[in-house]
Amino acid sequence: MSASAVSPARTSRGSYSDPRESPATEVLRTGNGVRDLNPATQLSLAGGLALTAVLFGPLCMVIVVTICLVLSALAGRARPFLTLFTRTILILGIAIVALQTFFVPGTTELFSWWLFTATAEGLAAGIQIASRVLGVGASVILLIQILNLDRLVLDMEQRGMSPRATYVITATVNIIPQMRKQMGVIMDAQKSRGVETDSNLWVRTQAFVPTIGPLILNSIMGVEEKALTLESRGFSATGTRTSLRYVEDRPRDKRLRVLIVCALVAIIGVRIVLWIL
Amino acid sequence: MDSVTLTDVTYTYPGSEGPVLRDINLSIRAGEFCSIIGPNGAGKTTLCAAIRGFVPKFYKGDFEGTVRIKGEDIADASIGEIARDVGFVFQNPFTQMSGITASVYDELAFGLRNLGVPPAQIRERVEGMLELAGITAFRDRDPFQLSGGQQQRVALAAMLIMEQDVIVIDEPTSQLDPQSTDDVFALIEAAQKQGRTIVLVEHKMGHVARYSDRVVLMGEGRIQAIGTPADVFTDPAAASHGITLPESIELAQRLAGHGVTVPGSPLTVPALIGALSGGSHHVAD
Amino acid sequence: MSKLFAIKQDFTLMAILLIPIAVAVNFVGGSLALALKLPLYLDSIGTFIVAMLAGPWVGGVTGFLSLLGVSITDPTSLPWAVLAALVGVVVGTLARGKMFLTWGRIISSIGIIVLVSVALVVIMRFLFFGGFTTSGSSLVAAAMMTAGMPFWFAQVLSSIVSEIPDKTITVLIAVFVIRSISTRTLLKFGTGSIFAEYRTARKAKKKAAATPVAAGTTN
Ligand SMILES: Nc1ncnc2c1ncn2[C@@H]1O[C@H](COP(=O)(O)OP(=O)(O)OP(=O)(O)O)[C@@H](O)[C@H]1O
Ligand SMILES: [Mg+2]
Repeated sequence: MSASAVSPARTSRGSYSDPRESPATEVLRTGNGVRDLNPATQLSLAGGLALTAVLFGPLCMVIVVTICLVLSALAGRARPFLTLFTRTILILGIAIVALQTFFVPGTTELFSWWLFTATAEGLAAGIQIASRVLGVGASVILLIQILNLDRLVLDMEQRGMSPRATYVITATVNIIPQMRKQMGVIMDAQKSRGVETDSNLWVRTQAFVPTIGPLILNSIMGVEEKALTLESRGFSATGTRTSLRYVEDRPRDKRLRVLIVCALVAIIGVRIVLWIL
Repeated sequence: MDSVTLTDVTYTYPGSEGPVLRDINLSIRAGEFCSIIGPNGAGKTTLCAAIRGFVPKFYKGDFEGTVRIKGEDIADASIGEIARDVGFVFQNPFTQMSGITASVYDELAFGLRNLGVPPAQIRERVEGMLELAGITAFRDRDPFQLSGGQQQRVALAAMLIMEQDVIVIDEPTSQLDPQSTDDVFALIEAAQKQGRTIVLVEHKMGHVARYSDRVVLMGEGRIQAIGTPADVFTDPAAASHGITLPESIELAQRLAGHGVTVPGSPLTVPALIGALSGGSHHVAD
Repeated sequence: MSKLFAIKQDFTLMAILLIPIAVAVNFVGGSLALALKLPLYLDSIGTFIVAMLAGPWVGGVTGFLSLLGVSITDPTSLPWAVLAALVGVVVGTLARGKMFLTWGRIISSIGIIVLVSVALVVIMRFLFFGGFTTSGSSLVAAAMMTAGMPFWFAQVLSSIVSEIPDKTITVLIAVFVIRSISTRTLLKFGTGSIFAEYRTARKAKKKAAATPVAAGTTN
């Protein structure tokens, strides 16, 4: 029908009509190669990297973190990747190494400091655990950098996920800033009464319920009308739905996913062989 | 032809003491503008919900009688399918935003997407509706960033775009300022001009008198009076159910008390002035 | 019993619409507790309310999504999504078992929730992080070990100390909110109607007690 329908049509598309059949639908694209991968590809990529880091030791972790950094850089997200990585995962990793070194009992004493004794066993355990945390953490942060939520939800729809499931995800993301805003208004009123800075813990605790209670009750009260509004807009109507946008799942994506699965099989194989030896 | 027909409808909510609707018989013609008025708790909203099938499909409870839309008994249709025939607009603009769209444009498209309308047709209809509702200026705005009045117009537009034959509207202007109220009414009138049946619950009697073809007065779950606006507003039942009369009728009645009889029942203030200056009034003595 | 496993039936449109609100309540509650400098998390009030209104599965999804959301800004929270989901399931199951109706039962429920949370926190912290993280209760555990306490004892005790006040207050707020919801609204939710029916039954009983003669005739 249209010029855009080049790739072979998928036969099973859940309950959504094929958006590629109409020139009135637009592709959701960012213009960056990594970020424009199909969300399923991005998920399997991050999942594969995380699993690799879990299965192997510190050396492999360094490789995984490097790959994540390079991919983030290719996605134009090197700086946010590094910021988030150092502020959260890296700090936790260092803490784990330190705590394990000092608290895991062992026979090989490295050194003593104040009340604490560092052991070689603890250090070894710490490095093992921390490398797992760093590897998985880096993969998760990579995913945060490259996965776009709109594209994810659209892809889920295209793969036949129930509209109710995708509704929950999108609505959750949308509602949080609104609630924050409503909360800010209530908080300002509390602040003007000096509650926030009151030194008495009981006073501050008592401020909590009247602040959040009405917010919750009002929101629950609106649920009925919202449900009926959605029903009126045909949310529960049966039959095919239309998408005005779509996310590409190019042959390239499919090849990449096959590659990731093959690599994972090989990696797990190597791991098993290493365990047996 | 009748668009909406209720026959012997009696309904009790789960857990409520007695019936909220009692022996309702009502027929609304296709293309008619029918307003429902009455005091708080009279059962207006429940009547609307019955027309849309929310009563009893969503609310459960004890339901007797039949509701027909274009002659079809809706008892057999699913709550989702009735969306194709009956639209419903609520009071609170905020809860009527779908919550999953980033722009007014997408908000209008949402219902059509659910019904599986082809993309090109969706785009065409959205453009048309943006124009009709006078909301083209905020097509790309986040629906939640709009004012209440703007949101209510978006909510109404998002419903009207689905082109149902019947539109049920429950107190759409109770949270709006006068200007927004007029905007909303202009849009409702435009929908009626497209030949659609309007069922409206409204407390602003001036607007009811001006736009309605027929007025239903509800009280204690029953239809207390039904007829043209002039009939119902001059019916003693209206006063006994605490209805504030439209200004023009109120004025005409006061004038009558002072011996000035106004012919007919002018439904708007200009009509009243016209009737008085038309020289056809009679001053006693 | 079979009703408990009819998972899909739990996800009514009303329940679906509750989830985003609850996740937001979790977020807002958590940040409000921080802003008020309270020594509590209070970041699962939404999960508890949803679990009480819509049952274990919807509660579980709410808990999971909340922590998934937190993980976007703090990826180290990701493993706790499992914990949050399981706690949601436990609260929902208790609610379905009518365990939040009377004060006696509410106290037992708090006990069960605290027990489950402590067990899960200790086990998961050990599995995912080797027993030590940068969280407050973990650092308390480390301090206790320095003072000579054994590993598991310190882990469990430090978690109990932080879980008891947090879960108690969370349950109390959730119950308070449920009790403030109108019977009419409660009836729209699968598990919430348990609270509504209890309320109606109690009112009927009170009425019957007030007019003992009428009680005989109406039944
Ligand atoms: N969901 C419900 N469950 C039980 N009773 C209800 C429910 N909704 C309404 N009622 C009761 O039914 C009666 C009619 O209510 P309804 O909302 O239809 O009145 P209304 O005419 O729309 O009033 P208002 O002008 O206040 O909107 C009232 O007594 C009300 O308390
Ligand atoms: Mg009403």
